[in-house]
Amino acid sequence: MANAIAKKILRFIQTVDMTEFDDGVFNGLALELFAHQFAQNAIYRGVCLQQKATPDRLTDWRKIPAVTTSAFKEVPLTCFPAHAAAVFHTSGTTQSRSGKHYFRTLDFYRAAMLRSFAAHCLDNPPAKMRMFFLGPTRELFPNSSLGYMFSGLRDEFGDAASAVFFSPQNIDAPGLRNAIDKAARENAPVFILGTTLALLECMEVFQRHHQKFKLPAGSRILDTGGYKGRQIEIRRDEFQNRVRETFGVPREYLLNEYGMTELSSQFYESHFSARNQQALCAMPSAPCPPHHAPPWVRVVAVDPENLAVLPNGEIGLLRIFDLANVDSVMAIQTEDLGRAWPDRLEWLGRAGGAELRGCSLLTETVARHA
Amino acid sequence: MRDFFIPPNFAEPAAQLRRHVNNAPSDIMVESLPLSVEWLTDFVAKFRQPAIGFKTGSKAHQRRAIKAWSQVARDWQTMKFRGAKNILATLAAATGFSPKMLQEALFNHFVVCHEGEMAEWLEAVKRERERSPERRVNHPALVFLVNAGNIPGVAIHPVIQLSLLGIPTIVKNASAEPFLLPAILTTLAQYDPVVASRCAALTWSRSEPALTETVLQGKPALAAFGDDDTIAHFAQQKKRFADFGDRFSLALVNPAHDKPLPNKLAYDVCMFEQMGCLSPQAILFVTDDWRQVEAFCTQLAAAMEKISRHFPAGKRTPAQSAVIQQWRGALAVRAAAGEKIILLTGSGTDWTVAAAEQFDLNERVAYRFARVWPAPTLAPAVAIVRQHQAKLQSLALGFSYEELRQIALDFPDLVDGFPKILRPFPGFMQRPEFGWLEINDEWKRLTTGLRREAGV
Repeated sequence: MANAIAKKILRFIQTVDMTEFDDGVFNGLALELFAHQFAQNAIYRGVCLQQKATPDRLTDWRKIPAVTTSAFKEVPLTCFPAHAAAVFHTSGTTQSRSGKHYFRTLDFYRAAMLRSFAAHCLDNPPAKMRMFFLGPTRELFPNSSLGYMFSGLRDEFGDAASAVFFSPQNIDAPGLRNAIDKAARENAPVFILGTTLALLECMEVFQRHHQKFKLPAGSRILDTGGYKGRQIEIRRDEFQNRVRETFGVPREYLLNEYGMTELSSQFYESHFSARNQQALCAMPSAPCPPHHAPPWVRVVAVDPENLAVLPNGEIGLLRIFDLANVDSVMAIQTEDLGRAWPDRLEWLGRAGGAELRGCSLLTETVARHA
Repeated sequence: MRDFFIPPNFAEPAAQLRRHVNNAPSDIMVESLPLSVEWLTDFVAKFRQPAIGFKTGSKAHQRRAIKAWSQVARDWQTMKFRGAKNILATLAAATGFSPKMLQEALFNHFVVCHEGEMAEWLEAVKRERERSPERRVNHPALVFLVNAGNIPGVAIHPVIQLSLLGIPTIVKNASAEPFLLPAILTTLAQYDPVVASRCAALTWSRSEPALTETVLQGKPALAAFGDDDTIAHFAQQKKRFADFGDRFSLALVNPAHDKPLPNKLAYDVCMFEQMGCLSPQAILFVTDDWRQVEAFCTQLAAAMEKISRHFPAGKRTPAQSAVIQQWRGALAVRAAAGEKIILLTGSGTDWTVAAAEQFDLNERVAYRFARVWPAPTLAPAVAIVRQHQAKLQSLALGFSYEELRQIALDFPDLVDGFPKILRPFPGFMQRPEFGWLEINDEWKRLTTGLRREAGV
C-alpha cells in the first residue's frame, strides 16, 4: 500500500496539469496518504489519536490533523525506519534548536521542485539559463533544503557558465559583478537566485561602489527567505525598487519563493504562467502579491486562537497540506500569517513574537562573519 | 497622551500630534516632541548638573524627594487621580495588556515605594559609601536610562532611586510604550517641580541613532533595559554601563505544605503576561510521583483560569497566539512520542499549563504558559538552578520552614549563595522590594557612587 500511494503521488506531481486544481482528485490522494502516514508514522498517529482523527472517520482533507513546525525540533516525524536519504535542518538560533525533516528519498522533493520552478519561473518551454546563486548549495550546506533546491535547479536548468557566489565564509559580490559583466558582454540573460538578505548585502556593496547594471533582456531575479525579524528589514516594495535600480530588471521579472524546511514543495510569486497572469488581473490591487501553489498542495488559514479553519481569504495562520511530504507528515501548521485560497496564498509575515528561523538567518550569519 | 516629560524650567519645541505606531499604526494619538540634534544638544548641556548625592545639604533634597515620590506612589497605587482612566486605556492599547492587569502591575511597582522603604534604601546606600571611603566618587552628573517596552514600568524603581539621589536622569522611552514614565513624572511635577526638575523622559526610535549619540556625547552613565541585542548595541558604546538584559526566573517548590501555592504561582505566571525577567519560566516541583504532578497541574490550571477571569489576558495578537500554538504543538508530539506530558489549556490561548520531565529553558515562553518540571529529589532540581545561575533573576522557594532549614544544610548555596539572585516567596515574584536592582553590581556602583574594587 505504501508503495502504491507513493507511486500515485509521484506520477501526479510529474504529470498533473499545473493549472488544474481538482479538489476531488486531491482529496482522494490526501486521504490515502493520510491513511499511510497514520499507519506508518507512530508519532503522528499519536497526534491524530489525541484529536480523535482516524482514517476511517475522515472524508475531507481539511480535517487531516496538522503538526506544528515546532514539532520537527522535538521528534523525528518519519514513516520509515532509521536510515534517511537526506535530513534537512531548519536554521536554529542561539535561543532555539533547529528542526529536522527526514527524507526516505528525495524523488518527491525533486519532482515537486522542478515542476513548480519550471511552471512559475521559466519560459515555456523551459530553456537552460545562466544561473547565479546567492544562497546555499548542496555541496557547502548539505543540511539545507534551500541548498538542495538551488543545486538541483542549477543541475537541471543552469548552463555551463552558471556559478555560486555564496559560501559559509562570505558573499562574493565582486565575483557576481564580474559574472554579470561577462553575461552582459555576451548578451546572455541571467537568472540570479538568492536569499533576500544575501541580495540585499550584495546590493549594498554595489551601491557603495556606485555600480548599477542593465541585465540582458529576459534576465530575472528570485529571492527567498525574507528578513525573518532580523536587524535588517525593509519594505517589500522598497526591496524590489532597489533590485530594479541595481540590476535593471523590470518588475515582472522579479520573483519570490515561499517555502520552508518542513515542506517538500514551494510557492512562487510570479507573473510568468498564464494562470498567474489571470489571477493577478483578477486582483490588481492586492496588497500582497499572491504566491501560487502547485496542484499537489492546498493551503488553509486557521484561527490563531482555536485553530479552526477559516473561510477562503480570511487572515489567519497558514496550514499547508503538501502531498510531496510522503514520508513525513503531509499537514503542517505554520506560524506564518496570511490569507489562503485553494491555489494560492498571500503571505503577510511571520508571527512577530515568533522565534527567528529560515535561510536568511544563515546569510546574515555569513555576512556578519565576512 | 504625551510621549515626553521635560521639566517646566526648560524650553521645549512645539509638540506635534501623531498616531502611535507599534508594529502597525494604532488609534492612539500622541503629543510628541519633534526632536532635533541641535535642541537635544542644548538640552543635555543645560540639564546635566552635579548630582546631589550625599553632599552637604543633601538631606533637604532627600526629604522632599521621598515625600513627593510617596505621594506619587499613593496616587498610582489606586489610580484614582484625574486622567488615570485615560492613562490605563492608553497603556492597554499600547501594550495589549488588559486595564485590570495594568492596574495590578502598577500597584505592584508602587506599593513598595513608601516613605519608610525609600528612606531605608537611602540609608543603606549611605552606609555602603561609609564602609568604603577610599572608593567613593561623586555620583554622575547625568544618567541616560534606556527603557524597555515589553514590561510597563520596569524603569520606575530605578528612576525613583536616581531621583532620590538627585542625579539628573534622561529616560529614553521605548517606542512601543512611551507613555507611562512621562505620565508618572507629570504627577511628580505636580507634587514637587523642584524634585522633578532633574528628570526627563523622551522618545525616539532606533532608526534615529544621531539622537542617541547626542545624549551619549553628554558623557552620561548609561543604564539599559532590553533584550541581548539592545544591550550589546549599547555595551559597544559605553564602558560605564549597567545592563539589565535578558534574564528569567524560576520557582522551586514542594506544594505539600502550602495549599494556596497554585494560586500564588498562577499569579506569578500571569502577571505582566509572563514577559518580564521576574516571571517564572518553570516551576521546579520536587516529587517522584507523577500522580502528584497531575494533581498539582490540575490545581494550577484551576488557579490560572481564576486569575484569568480576575486579570484578563488582554487582546492576544495573532503572533502571540501563533507562538502559543507552536509551544503546545511541540508538547503534543512529545506526548505522542511517549514522553510523560501534561497539557492543560484554557479557552483559546488564554493560558496553558504543561508538565514534562524535561524543558529547554533557553527557549523562553510567555503569555501565561506555566511549565511544571518535576524533579525526583532536590539534588537534580538544584542542578537545574545552578546550570542557569548566570541568567537567573529570581528564585522563589516554596517550602515549609522545616524544609528550608534542611535545604540550607544540604544545599547552602541555594539559600545563602547566588548573591545576584532575588529570593521572593511564591506569590510575590512580581512585587520585588524597592532596592531589588542592587543585585546588579554596576547598578549598585552607580547608586552608591563607589568605584570598582581593585582587582575586581
